Amino acid sequence: MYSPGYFLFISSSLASLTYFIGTLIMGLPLPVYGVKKWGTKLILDGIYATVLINIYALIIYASQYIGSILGASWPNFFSWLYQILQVQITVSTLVKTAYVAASFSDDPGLSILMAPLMSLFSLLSGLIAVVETIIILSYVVYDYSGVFIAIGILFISLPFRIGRAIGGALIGFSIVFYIGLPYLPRFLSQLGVNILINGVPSNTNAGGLVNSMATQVVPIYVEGILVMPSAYLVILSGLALGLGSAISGSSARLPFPIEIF
Amino acid sequence: MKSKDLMSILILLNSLMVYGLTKNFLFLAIGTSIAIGLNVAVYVISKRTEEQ
Repeated sequence: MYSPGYFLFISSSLASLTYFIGTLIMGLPLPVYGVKKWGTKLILDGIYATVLINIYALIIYASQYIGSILGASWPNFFSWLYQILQVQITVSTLVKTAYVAASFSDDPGLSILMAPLMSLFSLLSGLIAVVETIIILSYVVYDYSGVFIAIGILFISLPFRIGRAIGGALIGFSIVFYIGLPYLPRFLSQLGVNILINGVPSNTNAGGLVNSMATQVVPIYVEGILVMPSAYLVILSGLALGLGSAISGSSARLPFPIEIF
Repeated sequence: MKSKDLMSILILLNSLMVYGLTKNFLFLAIGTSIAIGLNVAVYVISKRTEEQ
């Protein structure tokens, strides 16, 4: 993987190219207003992209600072994810053990429990896959958010606003998910669906296990692993889209007046 | 502030930052050259525009 510095160097060169194309258009001996207008736009785009390159380190630092203010910590988040995975595998092993015990039993009262135990096992396997997906997404965001921001700036630096929307979306995604994803455990705790509290079945005989799994554990698992994290990710995606469109806004406005020449 | 001055300062700062990130002196040299070349090029273009 290339370093962010390499991408920023290419971005800087592309921003200079954008600026130069703008000055070239302004210097063209063509008295056409539509063409001249593009010259001003390109000059301002070049300056805007260069400002973004300059505040790259500030963006990274601000993301970390806002995350620490919110009380979100990446090591704690990964620890929480692996604890959930551990609890899920424990419950899944319990269900599979009960299934095997029921399959070896001659008691028809136990054999009838095999079908619900198998469906519970399938459901738990699916939920484990969901947690694994969240872990992979978290590692991608945690390890590569700096590179994604640099690539986003690179897209914004392209002349004629070719990659402005995708660049803004990449930067918005990286910033919002880097700040917001570690906040997921606290979000779930505040809504009362933290599965580390109510996740393990208390009854260990086969009939009681199926009953407590179906009425207590599975609803909490579906809510705490599938529904609420999905809703949280949708909220974060909405925020990322908003931030992305704010960064890649239709006009590059700077907070001070600039003379073009 | 004139845009060429602002752009030159920003490119120089960029070059310094990229040099700090990559420890590659070539990037600093290229950035400095672009900043100087920009001033020269914009000066020539602005003179040409004035003549027109």
